[in-house]
Amino acid sequence: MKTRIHKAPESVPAKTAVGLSFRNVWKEFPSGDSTVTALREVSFELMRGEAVALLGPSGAGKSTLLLIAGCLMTPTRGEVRMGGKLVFDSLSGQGSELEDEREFRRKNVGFVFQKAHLIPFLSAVENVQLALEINDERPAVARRRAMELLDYLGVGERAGNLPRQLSGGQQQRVAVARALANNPSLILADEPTAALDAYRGRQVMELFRQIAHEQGACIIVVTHDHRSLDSFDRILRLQDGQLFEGQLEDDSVPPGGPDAF
Amino acid sequence: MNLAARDLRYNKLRFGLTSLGVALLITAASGMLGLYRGVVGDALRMLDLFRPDLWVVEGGTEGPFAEPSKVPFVVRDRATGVPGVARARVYFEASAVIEGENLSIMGLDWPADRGGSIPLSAGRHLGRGRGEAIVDRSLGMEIGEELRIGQERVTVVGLADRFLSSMGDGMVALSLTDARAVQAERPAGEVWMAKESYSTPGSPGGMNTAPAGGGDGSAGAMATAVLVDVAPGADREAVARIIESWGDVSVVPHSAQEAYLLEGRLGRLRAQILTFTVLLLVITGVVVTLIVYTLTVEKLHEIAMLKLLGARNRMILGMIIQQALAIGLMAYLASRALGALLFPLFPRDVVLLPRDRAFFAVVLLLICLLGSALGIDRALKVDAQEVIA
Repeated sequence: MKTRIHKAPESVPAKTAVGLSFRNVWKEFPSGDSTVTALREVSFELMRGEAVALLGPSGAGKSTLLLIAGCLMTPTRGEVRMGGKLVFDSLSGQGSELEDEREFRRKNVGFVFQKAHLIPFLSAVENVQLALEINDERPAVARRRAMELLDYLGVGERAGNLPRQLSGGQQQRVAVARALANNPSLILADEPTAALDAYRGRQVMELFRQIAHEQGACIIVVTHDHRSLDSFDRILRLQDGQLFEGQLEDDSVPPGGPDAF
Repeated sequence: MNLAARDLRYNKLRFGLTSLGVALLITAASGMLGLYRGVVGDALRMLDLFRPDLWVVEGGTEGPFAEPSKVPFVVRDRATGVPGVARARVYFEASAVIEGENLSIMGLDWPADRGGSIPLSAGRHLGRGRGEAIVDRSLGMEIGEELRIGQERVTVVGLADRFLSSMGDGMVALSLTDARAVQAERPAGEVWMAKESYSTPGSPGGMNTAPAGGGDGSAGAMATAVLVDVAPGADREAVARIIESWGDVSVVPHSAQEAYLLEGRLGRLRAQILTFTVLLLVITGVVVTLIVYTLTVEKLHEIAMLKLLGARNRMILGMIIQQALAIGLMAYLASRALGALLFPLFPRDVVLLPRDRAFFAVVLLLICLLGSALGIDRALKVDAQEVIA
């Protein structure tokens, strides 16, 4: 199988510190009398400030990888480190250095999904403010920071609107603002542009790259949108639970054929 | 940020209607209790009009509030002669058709008793031994109005406030002579129906004195009871022993009559009302539980998102509990408003004491707290990763 390494843009600054690392990570799920292997010996390192696209067909294990990276699921075996902290380790038998996974997630991980998943009864600014208040930020400070983020993402003028009063693109920007609110060291995005038109999708992907570079966060974006791959520093590909570096030639063809572009 | 308040504001119509539904249930439950208190209040008020030291009732019975009782009028005269007795009066209560309505009448032992204990809002007490009446205002009669009671004609001279029978019906007070005359001329059919009701314990007719021989001419000789006031310093027990030694009567203290009234005739009513009240509160509890659970289930996705964002359990549980309490508070306030609006329209008094209101507030609080437990249990089981699912 021929692979093509996707080169990072020239403008990306040098990245030295490891933000996230997987070492020989396995994840197996029981299925009747047998087990289904979602991840097989997955190993990779993400440097701080690096934006990575994660490709792969449905069922390849992309969501499982995101869940493990986001401390929402524990691997069957292997070692996961985030920001130098041991999140999971079955290799050396040290276990986890985390006392409270939810607290760790609150302080270190931001999520963006295909749908915005905004709290429907909170306004745009309140959705962002909530993420900050959950992280013990004072309401006034949280409000100011939330407004800054919404302004930064170009939806500041819709801050007082409820999610149902926003377009899909505006909702997704609010979701991005929420993910960024606590300056996470890791941002996990699962098909964040699937509900957006091409122009908006491109904007969001560019935004991720910009955030990674400016804030030094690691970003993993699961995407099927091959038009936006240029926005990423690296491309990882999952196939049957195994991780490959780079993009298959076939990956450049969208499911609808070349005309789908 | 108060998530419960934000959600309430967002779903205000829904929360409003939910609270209104719970409020109606609480209004019904408190109304039941209020009606009971009203009935008890009316009954005790009637007893308080007399408040003798001793009730002399038919021998072997516990008096008119426990079972049918009749004593000869002559007992009053015999009791008057007992050492230590300051006063003996006839207590006479019966039913009669007045202006086509079957009403409770009370015979006043005129001239000793002119109805002075009956609280008047207009007019005067009885001034003559015949042809005058004091009526409760709820009967809709006016001063100077002439009433036809059988062959008798009496004039309303006084309007009373809350001159009610033990069952809460407005009463008519006549002189004993008029009351006996009315009793004596009751049509045969009415007497037969009255006998039937007397034989049914707890029936409204059962409160009245026996129909005094069924209209056979001896009616006037019988009273419901004789009320005895003991002279200051006299030994009440000794007086009671003397009267009971006659053999044909029993002597019951006033406090015991109150107890018979409350535990006997009204006891069954109380049991029924309390059963309904408890049933309504249980229904309220089930409804609140279902509502809070449903509200929680509908927010599971948001709860999963909160967990994904790292929210502590106390924030999520706080939202559920605060919403349940908000429903309870709104329902309680709405039930107070509904009660103030509706209860005065009831034909019977609805009396709610401050402790009753406090009781319903506390019960509603507990219902809301317990009701939210199911929702909390469900919320705690939600995984953050369900957002992605």
